Amino acid sequence: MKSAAESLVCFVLCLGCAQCATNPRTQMERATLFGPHTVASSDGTIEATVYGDLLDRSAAVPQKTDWLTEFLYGPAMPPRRLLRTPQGLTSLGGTIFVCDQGVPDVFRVDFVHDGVVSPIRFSDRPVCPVSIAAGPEGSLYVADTTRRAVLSYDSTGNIVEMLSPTDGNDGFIPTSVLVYGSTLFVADRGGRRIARYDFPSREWLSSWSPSSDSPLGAPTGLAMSEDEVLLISDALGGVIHRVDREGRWQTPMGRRGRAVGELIRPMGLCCTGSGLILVADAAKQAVVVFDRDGRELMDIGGADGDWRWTLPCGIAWLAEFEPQGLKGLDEIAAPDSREWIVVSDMLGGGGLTLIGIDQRRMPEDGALATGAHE
Amino acid sequence: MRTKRHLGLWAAMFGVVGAFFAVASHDGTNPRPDPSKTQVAPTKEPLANTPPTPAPAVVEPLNSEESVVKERIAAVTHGVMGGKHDFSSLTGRPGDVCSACHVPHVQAVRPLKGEGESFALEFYRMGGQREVLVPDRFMPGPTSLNCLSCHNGTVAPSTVGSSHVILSAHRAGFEIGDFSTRDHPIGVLYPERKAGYKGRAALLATGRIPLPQGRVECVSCHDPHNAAGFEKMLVMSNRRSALCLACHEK
Repeated sequence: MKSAAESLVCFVLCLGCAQCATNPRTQMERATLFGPHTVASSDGTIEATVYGDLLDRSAAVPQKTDWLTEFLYGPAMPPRRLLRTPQGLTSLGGTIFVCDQGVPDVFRVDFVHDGVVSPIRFSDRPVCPVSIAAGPEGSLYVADTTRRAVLSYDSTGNIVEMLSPTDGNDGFIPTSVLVYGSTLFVADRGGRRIARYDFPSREWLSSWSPSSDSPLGAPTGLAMSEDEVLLISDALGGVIHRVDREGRWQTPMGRRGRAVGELIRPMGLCCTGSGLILVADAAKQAVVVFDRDGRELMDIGGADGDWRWTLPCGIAWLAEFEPQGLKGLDEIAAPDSREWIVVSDMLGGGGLTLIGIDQRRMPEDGALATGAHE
Repeated sequence: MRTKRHLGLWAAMFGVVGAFFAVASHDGTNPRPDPSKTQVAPTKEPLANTPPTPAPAVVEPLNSEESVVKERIAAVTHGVMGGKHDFSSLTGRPGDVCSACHVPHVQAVRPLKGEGESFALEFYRMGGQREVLVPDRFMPGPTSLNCLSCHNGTVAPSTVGSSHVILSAHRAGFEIGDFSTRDHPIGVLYPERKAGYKGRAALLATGRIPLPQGRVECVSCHDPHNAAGFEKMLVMSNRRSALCLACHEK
């Protein structure tokens, strides 16, 4: 009887050890996959720190299991995510709005209070939401490529109207939306143009189309730079088109290629408060960083690096982000000039990657110092 | 010993006769056409009012390996040109049907001078993707990621949330209901030892259904180059479910 009990104890011990050793979800693996990783530009003026999944650091994540359960059954499985295929996203105040066509729905991430992810109870859900923009008074505009319209919702989630140009163009396929001032900019992949909707008059303005020598292949992202130049990512052309406020198309930014700073399949893009332009490239599995003048600065992630996304699509600048409320970020002494970026990985297990970017100015003596962008 | 001597005599006799015929057929009176040499037609005197035709450009003959590469490129691109994957008019690069999906390793393809150097075809890689393998997860492979970088609802119709492809990456983190008749996973290992599936070796022997790294990917059923010209860019005809039955045993 005694030997049987000893054998049982030994069996349980061996089983637990074997399970812990063979379980791939170890903390080391998660650290390898989810950071933090630090990447610096070649001249040292830009340093980006990838903090991994934002949702892993939210207070809503349950605590780990006790040691006996972990010993017997291995590390706890990560909690089931509500997000499946996060794509286009935007931030408004302390909230991130994320399009997810795998559900399909739009989710709200309240990272100021508790990091809880919750679906927006729209009265008329989009079918294939790929991009979202926040308008005045909390209204939301969702680009739906299946319904071929921009769905306009009020702050309570009730649909107001379905916007589509009335110029007889049946091939309207909105792939990206941007609210700037009193205008809604819509990237129309079907018409290969930029459609504009005026809020005060509730009418569509004349669209912007490029010249034939620099066609707009597939517009997939919109952003407005600090000097009010509309930036349009072209996923097929591998460039970023630039249109000034008068509708004049300027020389595109970036070029197609695999090297650092080059683009293959640019999707979403955003501009930070300091003027940086960040482009999520789905084929390079990286985020490409440009300065305000369009010069390539660095790649974050990428197939040739140690760390990469699977299919990054959406990117947004978090203008009002405070990391103190998130797990693991409390002890980080981030400078006040740090800018926070969030990237959606469409096939990365439903995660939103948090990135902190520091810019360093070059003083007279050549030593780098942390500070705001000049 | 006697037999060996007879064999030697017969061999010597055949050798002499064979050499005689070989010399007779190559004596210069009736030469064989050499395919490596260009046949030059006799020149005609130009007419008085017609300008002289420019001399043809000197083109170095291709060796066999270059010819094979060119034939492969021609066979691949003929299905792309004019099809759904021909984006040459949208990218500002007329006539370039390749670079929408294949990104040059270098900006300009350098000349091939070094002995044993790879051909230009190998300078092109799929758009930057590297295989993303997490041990306990099935993930779409590089070829499928290249498809999904466009077919996510933005550049092309989505295959993520609304079409027949189930991304097996979701299996680890999410619960997906039973596969319906119009759903098919990608990024999964081909279950060759499972009942109801044909052997992998027999499948690959047909040369029609590729299994990149032994897994079922987008290209297992669809040929993005549409070389065969089947409907929906299938790798083979699905008449009477032939494509389905290539893997699944009824």
